[in-house]
Amino acid sequence: MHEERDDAIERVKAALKPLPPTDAHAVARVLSAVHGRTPQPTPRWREFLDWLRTPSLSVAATGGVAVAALFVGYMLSDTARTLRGPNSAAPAVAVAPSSTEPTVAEDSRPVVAVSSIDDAERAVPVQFVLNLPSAMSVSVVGDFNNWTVNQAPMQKFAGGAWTVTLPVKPGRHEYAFVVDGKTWMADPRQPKARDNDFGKPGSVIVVNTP
Amino acid sequence: MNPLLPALQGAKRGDRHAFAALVELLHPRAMRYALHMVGSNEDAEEAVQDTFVRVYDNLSRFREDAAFDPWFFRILANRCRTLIAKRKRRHAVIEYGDLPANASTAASTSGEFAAEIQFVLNQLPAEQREAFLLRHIEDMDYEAIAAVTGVGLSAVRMRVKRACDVLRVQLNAVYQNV
Repeated sequence: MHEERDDAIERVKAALKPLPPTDAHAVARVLSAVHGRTPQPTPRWREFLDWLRTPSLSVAATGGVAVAALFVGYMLSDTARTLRGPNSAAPAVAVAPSSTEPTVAEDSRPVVAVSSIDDAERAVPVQFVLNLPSAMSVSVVGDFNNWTVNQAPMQKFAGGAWTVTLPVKPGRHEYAFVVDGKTWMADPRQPKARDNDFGKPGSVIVVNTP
Repeated sequence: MNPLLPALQGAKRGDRHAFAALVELLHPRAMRYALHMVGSNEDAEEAVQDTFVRVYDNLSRFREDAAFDPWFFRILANRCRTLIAKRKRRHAVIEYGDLPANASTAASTSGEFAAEIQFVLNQLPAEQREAFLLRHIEDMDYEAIAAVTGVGLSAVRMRVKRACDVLRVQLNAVYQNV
């Protein structure tokens, strides 16, 4: 009986396992679909961690100070790169965020300030706001900063509102808040990301072109 | 060594040729899974293409020392589930509207054994079909399947077992009718 059962499943496997032939046209359509898209660059901190995992770790151990200095340099340059945005030479800031009080819209949606320059590829400042008085720290992660925790820390204001303004390119973006460095949460005032492939809660914003 | 690793590393650096190599390596497996899950070539290709676009966009978030299959198949499985849900809505429209005049429910009369199996496979609940395919066709271990599906190990084992039980019974019936 047991052998008979195994045989049935083996027959199923034998029938289903053959791979379909490579369809060159389908592969071409895939490559066409990604053509022109810009992949998220590897965050510098991840490059650093990947490097640490390599067998050259013993070298890292002997040169710890130098490695730490490199890491700090990477982090600073990466952070600066992200905060400046890809078009840092010509910043598209139309509305400067207040340095003392957060500008919280009535519905608390991210405030999308648009540039006066007609350039759909130019990042525009987007203000993120989360009312969470009990949090010790909050940061924003999203596809616009490679989901890098702590790269965009939010500032706390009186009343418990956390806010940060980041440069974000026009288009649809997914993001989340990271509370106290470990808890991911969606923006309670924004639509939830429908297809979260990575098992974390997330929200969606659409940044309009100017 | 993971045969995908050189292509993965190159693709992560933004090398489009490396990404093309990655697509060529993975496309047949992805199509096999998607075809068995969604049952139609058109939907399978849509799911696979969408998956590769997401992989391309998010490759920097993948750690090279992590297992690639669970990450890749998690995305693919999500796309297949979405398409299955869409298809259910389409079928609902056909059921109450314009049923084709030549529509047939006699798919099980096909003489092709693979087609019979696919027909039986399609009768399984999607979560059981998914678990069966990942375990017995993609040869994943239960931990990897749990990572793909987002459910616990015991639930994964139960889904695979139930799928096998149903397949045995259904295929025995097919044999008897031949």
